[in-house]
Amino acid sequence: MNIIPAELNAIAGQLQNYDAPNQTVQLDSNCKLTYEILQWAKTHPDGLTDDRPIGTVEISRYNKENGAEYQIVEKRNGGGREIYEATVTTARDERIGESIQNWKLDWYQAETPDKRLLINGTVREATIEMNKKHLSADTPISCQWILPFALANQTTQMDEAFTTIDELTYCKTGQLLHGPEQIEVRGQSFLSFRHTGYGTLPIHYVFDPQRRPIFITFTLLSWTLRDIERI
Amino acid sequence: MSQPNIVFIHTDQQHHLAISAYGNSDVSTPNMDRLIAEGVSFRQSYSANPVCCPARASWYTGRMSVEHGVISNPFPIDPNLPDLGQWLTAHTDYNCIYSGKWHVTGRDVANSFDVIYDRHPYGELQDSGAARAAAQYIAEHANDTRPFFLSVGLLNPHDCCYVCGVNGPVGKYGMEPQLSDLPDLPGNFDTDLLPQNQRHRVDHWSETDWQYYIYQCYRMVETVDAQIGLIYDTLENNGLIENTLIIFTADHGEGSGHHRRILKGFFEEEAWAVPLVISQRGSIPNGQNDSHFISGVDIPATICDYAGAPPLPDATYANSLRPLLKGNDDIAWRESVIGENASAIAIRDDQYKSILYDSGERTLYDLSNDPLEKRNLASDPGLDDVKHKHAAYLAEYANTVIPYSGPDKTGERDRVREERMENLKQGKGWTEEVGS
Repeated sequence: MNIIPAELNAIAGQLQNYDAPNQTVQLDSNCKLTYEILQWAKTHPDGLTDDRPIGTVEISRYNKENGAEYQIVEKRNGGGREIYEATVTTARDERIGESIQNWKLDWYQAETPDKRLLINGTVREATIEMNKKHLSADTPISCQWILPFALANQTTQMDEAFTTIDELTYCKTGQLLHGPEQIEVRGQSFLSFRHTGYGTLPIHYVFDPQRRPIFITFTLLSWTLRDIERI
Repeated sequence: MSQPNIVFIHTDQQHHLAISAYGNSDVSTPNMDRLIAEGVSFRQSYSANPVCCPARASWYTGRMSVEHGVISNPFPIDPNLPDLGQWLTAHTDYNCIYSGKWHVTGRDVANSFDVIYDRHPYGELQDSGAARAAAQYIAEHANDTRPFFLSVGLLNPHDCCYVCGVNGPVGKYGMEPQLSDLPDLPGNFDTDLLPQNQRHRVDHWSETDWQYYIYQCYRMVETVDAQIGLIYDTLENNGLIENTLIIFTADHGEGSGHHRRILKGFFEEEAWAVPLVISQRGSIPNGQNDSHFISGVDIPATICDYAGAPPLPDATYANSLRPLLKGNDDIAWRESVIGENASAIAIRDDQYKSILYDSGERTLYDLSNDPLEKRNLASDPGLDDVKHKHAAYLAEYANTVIPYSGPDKTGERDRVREERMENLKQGKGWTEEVGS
């Protein structure tokens, strides 16, 4: 019998040695989440992957009037040693907690720090202006770096359409947030939100009993919470 | 700049119909659709060998597997054959740039291209970076006087190899009943008439498991679609879209539940056929379909033609698609297309497909009346003329190609080179069975 719920299949092996942080912080305060990025291990037939974390995500949140500002640094080893540095401002949104208003992404590889891709975006009246492109979005807008906070205080069932700007680079309309569902992990009860849609394999945002976004599972990649602190 | 920039975007393991513009309502690919709307779709395009490394070796040398030596993934390429990066560097003014998956066994891409982003075995970890690096390069070099040849190797939907596991669960196994939009199973899901040795057949999944597997493949296609959009938008935003030839294809297809199969490496349409679209705004007709038989080796021939380079040496089976892109229907073109792998050789013409396994098994499909390949007509004596015709095509092929002559002529590669080709030259195969 599979005792690991579907949401956590990708990190079933790694969960054996996982210890959650001791701290608890309200996510509508000034705070910082630090995740380790794990890849689904030992599934590659040529043994090209292993159990080591392949990066980190640090998301700092600062309260602003009617919203928040986020400072994000993600470092991960893919085809290159990639570094994402981003700033995002959000406004409160009654549908999914917060909706993105502006962002700046500065992406580069550690080996070539002088070669950078800059992506700026602004949202005005249901139109996203991203670099020189205009995209229509009549739903709230979020991304994987913001949703852990936006969903933290969501207690009622939701089935909400939204737009994601994946990695603040790839705009995808037609997304759906569903949940929370209750799942059991090692005798503890967790709440899981599911994100599906165009170009999205099911992503799960899993909150522990202290309402901390402790696991975020993509497909072959997952984030596990390593630290949570007030700033 | 007299020569166009050339951007060669390739996905890995994409079913040829996993594109919304081709009528598939289970997948949404607005960026592939945009290329299709602005270009020519080659609707009968086939991998030279429907496995990653051999197909890619053909893309970069213009040679078939029996020639370059990569008959399956482990076999290294003939070190004496030049590849596209080396060839264009030697014969043109192009900057040859590579981002993402290369996977040509035995050759370091860095010896042929300037690499701006390396490969990673997982598309989820590689593709967004490969596309971003490509976009960064395009933006930085938009005003260069020298043209660029930029090859972008996107790995997905290849990750479906890892999230399923033939003997394991299907991705986030157990959640599929929660999804309301699982696709229907293909019309040839239940077909038991194929050779018993068929690869990658999965019998123990439930139908819902299969639906979820296909659902995941489509989401991965959509993921790379968004990444293609970033590259396209960057070309457009930097004023390069009219001076850039964009070639989009996949190295091979994906089983996707057809004949209860996953993955690749066989010659039914789901694995052998590939999408192929070529566009250049203002220079190539918009939204046209072309039905000529195309092989993966035609892509480097086309790139050399547009780049002003001589054809790759001894690429005897390859043809440039440039005349077809100019709407020239009067040119002589192959009447069939051939593919090969380590265990079989296949040929299809405008109605029939033969698959000749080295083990002696034979498959013959009537694609006009059985497009889903549900009935094997190999033992039908009424089709002897088809078998003779295919045997003649294959003999001509075996007499035309220049078999691998590099080092280490051992194992499967040697057997294919020596036995299969000699048998084909002698008319063995179909002809011995029909008593010619």
